[in-house]
Parts: sequence; C-alpha cells; structure tokens
Amino acid sequence: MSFIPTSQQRYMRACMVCSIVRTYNQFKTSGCPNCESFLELTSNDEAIQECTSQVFEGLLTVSDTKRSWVARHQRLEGYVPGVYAVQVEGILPDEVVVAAENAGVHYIPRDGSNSVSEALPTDA
Amino acid sequence: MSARDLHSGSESEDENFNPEPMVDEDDIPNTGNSRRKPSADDENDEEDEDQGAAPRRQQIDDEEDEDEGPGGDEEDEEDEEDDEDEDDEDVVQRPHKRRKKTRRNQFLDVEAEVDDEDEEEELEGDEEPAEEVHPDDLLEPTGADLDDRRHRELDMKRQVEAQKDAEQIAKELDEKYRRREMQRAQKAAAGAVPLSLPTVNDPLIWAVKCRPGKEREVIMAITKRIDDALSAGRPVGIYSAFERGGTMTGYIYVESDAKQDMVSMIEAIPNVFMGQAQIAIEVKERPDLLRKRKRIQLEEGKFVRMLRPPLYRGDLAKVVEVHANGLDCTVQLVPRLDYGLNEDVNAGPDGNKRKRGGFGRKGERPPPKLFNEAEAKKRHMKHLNMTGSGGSRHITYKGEDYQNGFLLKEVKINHVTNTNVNPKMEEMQLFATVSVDGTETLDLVAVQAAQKAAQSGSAFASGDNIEIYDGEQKGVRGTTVSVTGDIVTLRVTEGDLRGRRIEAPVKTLRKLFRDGDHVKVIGGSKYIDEVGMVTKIKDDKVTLLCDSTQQEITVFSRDLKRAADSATVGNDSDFNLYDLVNVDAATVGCVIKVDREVLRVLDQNGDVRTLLHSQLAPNVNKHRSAVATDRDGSEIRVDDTVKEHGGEGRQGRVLYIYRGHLYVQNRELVENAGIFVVRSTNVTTMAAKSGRAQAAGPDLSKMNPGVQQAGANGNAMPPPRTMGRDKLIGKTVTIRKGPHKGLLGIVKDTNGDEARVELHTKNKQVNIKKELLTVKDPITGNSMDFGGKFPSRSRGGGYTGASPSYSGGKTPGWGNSSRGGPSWGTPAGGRTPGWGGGRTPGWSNDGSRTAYGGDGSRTAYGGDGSRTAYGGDGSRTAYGGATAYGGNDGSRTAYGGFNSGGRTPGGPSWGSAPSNSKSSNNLSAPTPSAYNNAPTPAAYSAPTPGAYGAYSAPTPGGPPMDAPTPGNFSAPTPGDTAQHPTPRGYGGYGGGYGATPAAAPTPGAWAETPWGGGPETPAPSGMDEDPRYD
Repeated sequence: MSFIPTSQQRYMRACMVCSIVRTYNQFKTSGCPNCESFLELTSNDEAIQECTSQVFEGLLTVSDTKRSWVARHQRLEGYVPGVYAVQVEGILPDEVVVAAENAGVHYIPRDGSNSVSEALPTDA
Repeated sequence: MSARDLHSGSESEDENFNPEPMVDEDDIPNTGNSRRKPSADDENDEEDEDQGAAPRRQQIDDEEDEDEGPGGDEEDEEDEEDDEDEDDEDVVQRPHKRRKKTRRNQFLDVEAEVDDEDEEEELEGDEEPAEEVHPDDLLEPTGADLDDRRHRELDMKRQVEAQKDAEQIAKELDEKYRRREMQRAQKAAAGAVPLSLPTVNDPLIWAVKCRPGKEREVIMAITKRIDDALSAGRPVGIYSAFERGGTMTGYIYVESDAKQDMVSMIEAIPNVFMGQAQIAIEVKERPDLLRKRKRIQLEEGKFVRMLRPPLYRGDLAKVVEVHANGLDCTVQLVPRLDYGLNEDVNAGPDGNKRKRGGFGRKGERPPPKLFNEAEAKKRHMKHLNMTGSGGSRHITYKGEDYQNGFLLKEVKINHVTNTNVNPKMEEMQLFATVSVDGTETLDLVAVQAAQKAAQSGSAFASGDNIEIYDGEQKGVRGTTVSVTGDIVTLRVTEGDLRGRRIEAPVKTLRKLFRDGDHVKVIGGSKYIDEVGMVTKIKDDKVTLLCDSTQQEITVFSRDLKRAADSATVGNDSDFNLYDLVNVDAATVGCVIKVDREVLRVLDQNGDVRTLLHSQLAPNVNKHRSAVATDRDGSEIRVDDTVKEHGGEGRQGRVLYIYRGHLYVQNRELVENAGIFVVRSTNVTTMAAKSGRAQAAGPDLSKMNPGVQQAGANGNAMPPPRTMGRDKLIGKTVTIRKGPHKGLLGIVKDTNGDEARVELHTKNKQVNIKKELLTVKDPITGNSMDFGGKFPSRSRGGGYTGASPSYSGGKTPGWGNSSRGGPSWGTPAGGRTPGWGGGRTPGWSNDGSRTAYGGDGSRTAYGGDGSRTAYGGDGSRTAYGGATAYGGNDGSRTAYGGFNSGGRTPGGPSWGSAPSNSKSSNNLSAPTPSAYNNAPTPAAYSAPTPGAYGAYSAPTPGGPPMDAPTPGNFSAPTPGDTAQHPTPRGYGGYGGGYGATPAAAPTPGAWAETPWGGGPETPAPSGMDEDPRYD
C-alpha cells in the first residue's frame, strides 16, 4: 500500500536513488522497495537521513511502471508501483553511489542537475 | 551512440530518421517474433553487402543494442562496455577463425560471435545445437567467392530459419533475453537509459483541473484508488498520475489509454474539478510536463530570501553554510524578536494559548533588529544561554542560536529562495560585518553579486551592435532589430548571412563595441551611469576610461550602451555636495564627495568618513541665522570670511555653523573638496558679508544710546519694540478700565498692543489693551511696574510720548511705595543723591534730548516732588549738555549738567555743579565720569555686551523690564534709555527716592566699566536700600 494519509504527508521522504516517496517510518520499517539491497534503509536512521530527501517536487503515482510512458521517462521501469517524486533534491553520499554502482545500478541524480539529455532550449 | 557506430552506417541512419518506432520495439521481444522477423529481414537486405547471411540471432542482438540507442544517449556505459567486450572478443577471435575456416569472411565472423555469445551465456547451452546447425549447413558448401553465391546461401539460410519452429525461436529468444531485460530494467530505472520520448503508441496524458494547493492530496487519493483496485484485482485503468506543484498549480496529469478510464478513476475525488473538460496533452509537449528544474545552487556568503517560517518570510538572509546532504543550510538572519513583550500574560503555563492561537500570526511581526541581550534578559533570562565570549560569543535564546546579534538558523533549502533576491541597501546594511576595530564594512562584492540583475532582453535596444558569442551561430554579428522577451531579432551585418534576420536568445548575445567607442554604463554594476571611452575589449568584458574619474573600469558589455552624453554622477543620491548631514546624534558632517554608493563626509571633528547613503539621516536643519563668535568675540555668521588663527592660517567662507564648529570652504584647497572644519574660537573674522563692523568689537554706534540719539536728534522716537517673548505673558494683571475693570487675570498671550487675559473670576479669556492692564505681584497683590507697556502717565508731563514707560512705571511705584512719604520728603536725603546724582546725570545724558524732559528741570521724576528735577538741557551732545541738570526748583539736588565739551572734564564739572549737595557729590562724581568715559571706544570695547546688561541690570527698573536685553541699547530711542533707568522700579520699591537711587545703579554700572569705579557707590547704595520686588 503506497497510500499516505494526509496527516502523514509531512513526514514524506523520497529515495534519492529511485525517488519512491514514503514516510520516514515506512522507510524505517520496510526500507526502500527498489533499492533496499544496497541502501539498507531498514531500521537505519542514518541511512534514511542520508539516502532519502524531504525536499522533492512533483508527486507521481504509478500503477504500471512498464506500460506507463511517464514511468519510463522517469526511469522507473521495473520498479514497484507506488508513489514517486518527479524531482528529488539532495546529494547522495559517495559511498552510497559506489554501493549502487556495485549493485548494478547506474545512479543518475534525480535533482535535475543532470538534465543534459532532456535539455531543451528554454531550460533555465 | 558508440553502440550504434559499431554497426553499419545505413542502420544508424535508418534509426535517425525515425527513432520513435524503435522505442516501440522495446516491447517486441516480449510479444513474440512475428514482428521481429520482417524487421530482421529488412535489415538483412541492407546488410547483405556486409554481413550477408548473418544468423538471425546476431541481428537480433544488434537490434537489442540498438534499442538502447534511439535516444542517442551516451550514458549507456555499461551496455557499451558489454558491446565492446563482445567486439573485442570478436576481434581476437577473427584471425583464429579465419585461419581455421578461410574465405568465410563475414559469415564466419558472425557465427563466431554467436559462438562467443553462447559461451558467454552458458545457461543457454540448449541453443547451441540449433546454432551450430545452420552455420555449418550454410557455410560448408560455400567456398566460392562470388557474391551471388553468397546471396543464395543467405537466402537459403533464411529459408531454413523461416521454417524453423517459430514458437521455439520465440521461446529461445524469450529465455535468452528475459534476464537481460530484467537487468536492463533495473538499469533503466536507475537512469542508465536515456529518457524515452513519448510516442503516439504510449498512453494519453490528460490534464485535469483541481483545486490549487491540493494537488498532492488528489494524487494521494488516486493512489488510494489504485491501491484498492490492485488489491481487489480490478483493472486499474490509469497508468500514472502526477502533479508538478509549484510550476503547474491547479492541474494534475493522468496517464491512461482512454478518457473513460481516466474519468472513472478520478471522478468524485475531492478537489478535482471535473466540470471542466480534461485536456489531452500533445505528444511533443509531454516531456515538458516532467521537466526537472535545475535548482540554482546555494553558495555560502550569498544572499537569499526566506520563504518560511512565516515570521521571516521575505527577509533577507545570508547563507552561512550549506550542509553536505544538500538539503539543509544555515542562514544568517536579522532576528525578529519581541523578547516576550507581546506575550499573553494570561496564557496559562500549560500553553493553552495554543488553542486560541489559531492560524496565522496575530498582529505585526516584530521589526528586524539585531539580537539585544539586555532586552532578552529583561523577561526571558530563563531562555537565555551563553557560551564563548567576545566575537565568538554564542547565545542560545529560546532554542535558537544567535551570534553577533544575528540569528543563525538551519533551514531546508526549499525554504529559501535565491531568485529575485534584489537586496536593498538598507537590508544589506544590517549584514555589514563588524571588523575587529569596530568599523563596519560591507562586502560590496557580495552586494554586487546579490544585486546582479538577471540578464534580460531589456539590456538590448534596437540599433545596438551585437554579436552572438555562444552556440551554433557563434561569431555572427549584426544589429538589433527588435527584442521580444529574451529573444532578440538581429539583422546580420557581416559574413555570409548578411542581410538576413535571425533570432537569438539573449544569453548568447553580447554587445559589440570597438575601441574608442564612447559608452555609458546602463546597469548591472556599481558603475551605473558612468560614461567613458572603451579602451580594451576582452570577451564580453569591456574596459573603459571614465570621463568623470579618469579611472579604468571593467564592466560586462551587456551593461553598456553607446552614449553621446557625458557623465552624471550620483544623480540618484539624496545628498548633494556640501550638504550638511547628520551622521549620528552627536555628529554632523559636510558631504565632500558623492559617490554612487557611498558618501564621503567630513565630520565636525575633522575626520573624513565614508558612509553609505542609507546610513545618513536627511540633512540637518540649517540654521542660517546661527551665530558664533570668533576669538575676538566678534560674531560670525554664515557666509562671512574667516581666517584660521594659527595652524595653517587657512581662510575661507563660512558654509555652516554648527555648535561652535565652522565648516569653511576655500575653493583653493584641494583636499576634502575645499572644506575644512575649525572651531569658531580659533578663527578671526576677516570680512562680514553683511558689512557688519568686524574686528573692532561690537557695533558701538548701535549700542551706545547716546550716539543713537544724536542721530535721532530729538525727534519723537517710535516706541521701543520689545523683541522676543512678551514679558507680559504669564504675568498677573488687573484690568483698570472697561467692562472688566478691576478683575484679576493672567496674561496668556499678547498681540500688538492687546493682551489676552484669562480672568480669574470667570473661566474666560478676554482681549484687553495692554495699556489697561496693571501688573500685579501674584503673591502680594502689589502692583508692579512694567516698562514699556503702559501709557505715558508722566506727571511732570516732561516726558515725551516716546518714553511712556518711564512715567508709567514710575507712577505706580511712587504711589505704592510704602515709604513714599518719607522718601518724597527727603529727596535730598541719602537716597536722593543717589538718585539725582548717579542716575540723573546718566539719565539726562541719555535722554537729554528727549526723554527726560528736554524741557528742563520740571519734568521727570521730580515732577511731583519737584525736588529732583532732571532735565537735560537741550545739550546737543549726548553727554550732557553743559548744564544739563539743573534743578530748577532749586532743590538741593540739582545737578549741573555736564560739560558737554569735556568728556573728561565732565567729571569735574559735574562734581562742581552738584557739589552743594553732598549726596550728589557722591553720585555725581561717578556718573559724569562714567558717561564721559563711556563714549570713548575704549570703554566700550572693554565691556562685553554683558557689561551693558550689567548696566541695565542694576537698575531696579531693569529687571522687570527688558533691561538686560541688548536691544535696549541698540534701540536708540530715548524711550529705551528711559526704560533702564526707569525709576518706576523705584516706584515699586516705594521709596520715592528709592526710585531715584534706582537710577543710580545704572550709572554705577557704567562707571564700573570705565573706571572700575568706586563712584558707583551711590548706585549700589541706592540699590541696597531699595526693596526689591523680584
């Protein structure tokens, strides 16, 4: 269940790797459904602080990450259905990036800093 | 890209033409090979030359790789690596295979690849038989080099393959690629794959209106419905829904195949406005919906504006630290604290105020002020916590940190904004850093950075010569035709494109100047409005030589404009050169330089300070009438020329007088714009603008009544004008005449000859002529004489109208005096002499012309008593007619007039004259001499005006009247003189003679100065005896 009641929405955080949005407690109890193998967020406050961000923009709920173009555009293909963020601010610690690469995940920041490929003339 | 490059050019071209279908093919491996075959065939046709009858698997492989290529993304490193690995192996293996099986160029290679791949993917060993079969079949018979033969072989191979069980192949493929696909999905999810562009085959995206601000709630509601549907096993209908908060307020976007699916999914969700039609977003616009906005990086030392908390919304803050996670930063703020002043004292300690607190802040937020420890201690000592000392003093107040008066606050980066910061100077000033020596310095560089205006099209005006310095059209030069937003249309003036009109974004443009151009800075830097000549151009930085300062400055070319006019400096300042400004409560300064951002100010201590415009209060009130005295006691007024005494001996014109400091301007001086500050006591007056007598002391002619009178020459003088506040105001008076006769009141105001009297009896104010008033002592109820205010009531009638006060004053005095009788009776007594002697002469002198009975003895005081008649004769000289005072009556107190001729002899002559009366002797001696001397300049020079005051002061009449004011002296009217001596003072005392003695003091005073005199004795004596009423 990816629904987050309004009262909990203030605790929402987004995973900096996959951009999934969950509350702090959800991350703490069950970790990140997509990146848990290398982020190991469960019961790890520090990791949650480091690898998830409260600063994100654009809430995106996906029911089918394969068929949805939006999900593909957001590089969410293959991830679990749920709520994601369009843009996540924050800088993933280097060692986490390395861990992700080792796990076969090519990490591209989701904060818009790497928007070269989608750069359009008016992009400010 | 590189992956694509590995393959034939034709193929990649093909893809470039229509990349979108390739995206589609992503799905094909899953759906089966029915579609794949034709496509493979197509490609084979093209590849015949190169690859000929490559096994299909290889082709599929290629496709697989190409699939990742459509977006043309180079990030695909892993895949590249894979491919390269494979290719490397190919390369390694090729010679080997060639050796083994000659003449099988391409096909062999390809097959070898397949083999390699099979080796790689050991799990798929089941494919090997099949694989090995066709190559062998195909290749064994070959051996000919002829092309057509190979073609035939290829055809054969294709046939064989086509005949193969399609299902089996599909299965093989599926198995083979599922893993890779999964892997790839994961990579893709993490961004390994370029952002895919939407195609017409993708689901539609609908824009749905919703209540602004509720976008996230709506998305969550949709999420809930999706969850429900998924868990219930129902079809979901929509693939995704998203919102873009701040950028697209009031809309959410839903991705679904059909509108009906979308509508059924979102309808009846609160805050979704289904009333308005949903808009389908066009394919090419879809990526824009998901565009990420690159956040401008916060940097330490930069200024930002606060968005939250509400208390500081909109406030300027300085970034102190950006935390490593990039999410938080520490900012420096000017705190807004009320230190508990507005605390609700009634709120319980349990904070039940919270309930009432409600939303939003009540009332005004406190103004931003640096943290004040003392204030905080007043009420919130318990919240205060201090560590460190000196500059590193750290205060924790109510859980927040303060340092150097600033609030250090940790905020999330999305609670601040660095766009449109535009700090004002006043705000910036609070952030001025206080250095060790206590001087405030402002980091102007930071200011400038913060104020750096975003470049917009407004910097370009039509006609500007511009150059495109970035992008594909770099180097194109032209003239601006028009500017629309951030797009500039230019007409190319050079090169191949000459004459063409092209458009370019502002940020790729720079203005083109040439050395020697005369340009004006129109914005973007502190040099705004500076005008100068271009001396150097480097990139888009232009160095110019300022016309005004002859300094070289470097600015961005976009901030320049070709200009013909010359510089106007500091036209936006509130201050002008040579303005007198308030630096602080105790300091003023004179502006000696107006710069764009700072003023240089010469303060009263002679120090030059550099101050921001905003640090100065508006101009000091200029007291044009301010007067100072120089070291000789001469008065100095604005515009006088003074010379410094000692020192450098500078001289100049007085610009301002401020509390004994003179701001003097000398245009010949270079430093401080020709302004210097001196103490007024340190200069001598050179020349007064007004032509006042200078350097010789006060204007004697004005002060010497005698001289004045000479000029007046017996004419009736106008009544003396009292300057300043009317002395009558506040006095207790009775009304002597009219409907209010006899009533007591207090003078509240006067106007001309009328007084406004507040009556004690009625609470009423009435206007009464001053002459109808009698001043009363509020305590004793006695009448007091009051000079100048009363009509002439001279008994003797000897007085001219010009000296009304005289008689007026006297009358009551006389009348009231308790000792009236005796004193009258004994004019010759001790007092009288005082009177007659000291005073009279003095008097008569003064008034010889007019006041005291020019007509002779009968007049004056003596009038009634006849005893003491003073009358100057009509002696023309101020100082005593030869026989000015003769007692007509023959009273003993007859005073001989002075010797007019001998000022000096006056003494003697006098002495002789009055000699008969003993008392007069005393008196006379001083008086004449006093007078005699008086006229001599020396006498005058010595006494300061104060001396005159003294002169008048001693006269009993003086105090109540305006005696002390120099005005008396300056007023040449006899009436004036009359005032001083006014015997009414005496009258007041009672002793008629007292009155006379009263006069005595005057001469005494006079005497004092010239003689240092014993002679005044009479006067004092007279004084002493007189009862004083004040």
